[in-house]
Amino acid sequence: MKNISLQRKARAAGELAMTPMIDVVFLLLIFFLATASFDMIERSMPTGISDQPPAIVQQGGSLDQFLQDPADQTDEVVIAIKPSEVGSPAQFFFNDVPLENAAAIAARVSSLVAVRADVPIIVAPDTSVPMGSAILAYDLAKGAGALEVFFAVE
Amino acid sequence: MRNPTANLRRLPVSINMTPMIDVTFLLIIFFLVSSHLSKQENHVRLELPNAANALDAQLAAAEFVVTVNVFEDDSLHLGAEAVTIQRLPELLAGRAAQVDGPLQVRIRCPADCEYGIVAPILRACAIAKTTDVVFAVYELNEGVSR
Repeated sequence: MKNISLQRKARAAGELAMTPMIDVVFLLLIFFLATASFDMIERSMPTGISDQPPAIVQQGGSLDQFLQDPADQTDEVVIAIKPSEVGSPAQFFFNDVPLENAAAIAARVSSLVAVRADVPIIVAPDTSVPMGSAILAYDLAKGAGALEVFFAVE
Repeated sequence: MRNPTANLRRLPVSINMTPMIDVTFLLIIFFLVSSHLSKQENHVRLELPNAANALDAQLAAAEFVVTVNVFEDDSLHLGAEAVTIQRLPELLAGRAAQVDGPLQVRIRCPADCEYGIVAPILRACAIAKTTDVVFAVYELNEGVSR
């Protein structure tokens, strides 16, 4: 056991006590390592559900009729997503018109929104389409300024 | 003979703070880490879809939120409880009835999960009249290709 008077003499001679400093530094190191979060931050995409078929279908018409009638297409837009055979995971359709790629959704929707911002847009993915593509179409329609975007539910 | 009381008077009285601070730091770290881990426990890791127009999760959260997790094997969990899609409308309606305000349903599904798995969940929400539905997504980074 060290003599206290000897310790005092050593300190007086200019020796620095490193042990408490190292203790605290280690504790701070552990603290910052333990509290650092390495997970990606999750965000929320608010969505709507549409269980209502297009107006023309409600009145007894077929979905094909709706898609062929240009008058109705400013009232409601259906972005259909079907599985693609090659290349990209999905093929997008804007009121039954096939689109080259997903980015074309944004162009179509923004030109439509310029005329009428509150036009309801229904994203109707096929059951075998991955959610990544469904969310992508939804996100692009929202990003193009559409106020009402819904997922189609049977 | 020396007087012991005279010796005591001469010694400066000081409290050694170092062990107390050590222990205090350890306690702080213990509680911080344990609370951090308990938060991670109810947070199942999934490869969520990416979206550019999503909101901050805390800003978008309602007062009452229930999470539906869709796992890689297409099984569903409502909160921590494994459920079937047939029971989901009834359970959601039950949860909505328990809370004093609108219930938000937060769906966490992997990006490669098929829409055919998620559509019945949306339908269950519509049946249970819980129309406030949000999808958990990761923020789209510029480096991620679409």
